[in-house]
Amino acid sequence: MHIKASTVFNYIFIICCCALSLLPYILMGLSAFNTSVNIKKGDIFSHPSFASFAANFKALMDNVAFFSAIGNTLFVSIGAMFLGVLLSSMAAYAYTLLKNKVTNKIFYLSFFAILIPSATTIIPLFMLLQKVNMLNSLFTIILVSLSIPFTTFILVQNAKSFPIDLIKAARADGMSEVGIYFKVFIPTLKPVFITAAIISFIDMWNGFMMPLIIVQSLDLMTLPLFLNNLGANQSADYGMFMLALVVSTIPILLIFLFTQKFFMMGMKGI
Amino acid sequence: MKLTAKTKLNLNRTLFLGASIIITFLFIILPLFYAVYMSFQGGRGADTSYVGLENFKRLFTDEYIRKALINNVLVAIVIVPIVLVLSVILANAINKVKSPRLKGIFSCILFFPSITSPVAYAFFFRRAFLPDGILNQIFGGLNLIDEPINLLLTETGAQIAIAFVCIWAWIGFHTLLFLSSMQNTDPLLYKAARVDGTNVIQSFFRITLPSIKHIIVFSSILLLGSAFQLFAEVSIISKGGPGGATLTLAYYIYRICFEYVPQFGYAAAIGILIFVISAVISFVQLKAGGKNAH
Repeated sequence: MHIKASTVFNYIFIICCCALSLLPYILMGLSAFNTSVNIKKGDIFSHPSFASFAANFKALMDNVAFFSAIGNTLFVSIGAMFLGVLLSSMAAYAYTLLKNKVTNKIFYLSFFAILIPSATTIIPLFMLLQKVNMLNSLFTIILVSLSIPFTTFILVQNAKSFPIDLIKAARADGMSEVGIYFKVFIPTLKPVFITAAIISFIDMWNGFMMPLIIVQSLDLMTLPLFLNNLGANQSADYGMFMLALVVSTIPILLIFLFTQKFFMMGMKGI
Repeated sequence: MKLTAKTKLNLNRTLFLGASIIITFLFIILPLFYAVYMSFQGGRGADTSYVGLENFKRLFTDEYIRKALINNVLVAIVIVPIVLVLSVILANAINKVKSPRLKGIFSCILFFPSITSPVAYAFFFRRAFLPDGILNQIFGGLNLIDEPINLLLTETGAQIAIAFVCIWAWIGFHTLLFLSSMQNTDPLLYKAARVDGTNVIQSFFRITLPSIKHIIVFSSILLLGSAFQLFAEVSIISKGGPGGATLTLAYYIYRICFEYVPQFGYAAAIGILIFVISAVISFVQLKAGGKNAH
């Protein structure tokens, strides 16, 4: 009986935490079915309706900036995902399979780069970008938010257990390093790369401070900037705003749910 | 001319590392050096000149720096440990769940906040904390409070609000990290311990905790990073107020540069302060972590 009681307590504890974790999403979702007036009164339980949802939906669809924000966010997220994983995995390949004294030193130096807080570099970065006219560009957002050192570090940790004989065999067969990278290294470490790709996609989708200082024109805003603009406007339609919050959150949750297996596998590697 | 094997290898090294070294140098290392240079420059807007240590002297007299620093340190020494302890406990609880399916569902739900945009949940919470917001409605409805509380109006209230949001947002990711590390622990260890008459609590302290020690170090480095970069939450929920009660260094930097006439030199000096603090903390942690690992 003793064990049973502790199991029950265990479940209650977990379920309470899960409920707390989910509550904001439920309330956000419920708010999307309410009118702006009801939300501002805090009265979202008494009469949520599909009519209000439809009105909010229409208001959001009429907002041109919302669609350009989705497009921009997709562009930077997908761009950073491919570029980040490609460059980090190439670096990880060099650090683990082409290593010598020099690459080892560079690896330790790049570990130091992980420890540099972005709050320290963001203002000087802004000024440098301003000098070379690189502000207000989606491509700049991608370049400055790649966080290559961190991703590389995680990939190197995982590649440490890489079967070196496989590489030796491939080299003996006369395969080029680029060939080995694409045909042996990537397929073997696929789950880790996918995890890294998902993480960088999510980071870019949600990124706020970098886009905030880089983007200056409305048509280049990413979703977080769009939401920030909308929310700062006190007279904004709150029903539509809550729906916008929901809509910008859902894709990420779905991506996570679909890739969860890979993700959990990759987490083990950390 | 035929390339020797050695030259070929070096060419390959350059090919594989080149781009990432250049990008890391241009967008992380160079700005750091530029921050050092800028921190000796004074003035407003584009019009700057060398002022020596003036910016650093100002750090010591600026009341907002003191407030922001205290807040960042509070997050680091109060909220970070709370998050660590709660997520270890939560991971341990989930690890005891037998069904892999339930385990997956629980960890998914807990993970949601860490993949949600801080901007999105910050706006939700800002609305929810208001006297007529949803949280007051719920607590009022449950008769837990007599009248609506305007949490964001008082200094402690606003700090509690930010703390709550951070804990809510940060726990899931670290729970998952701990959980996946716990699942790597050999189940035979626990069986042997049970045979030896070790109880649940003892085996938690003797087997579970030591086996996730390196993840705890990793997690606390990540969390302290978040603690000193806290930005979106405070800029949206409380605007650093009331009276600087929830100001953080990162948000203060932003304010100095983008909400008033920019003082880039001073902002750079604050950036250097953040860098020094986090370097010291990371150094101590890596040392501590390294010692424990052996």
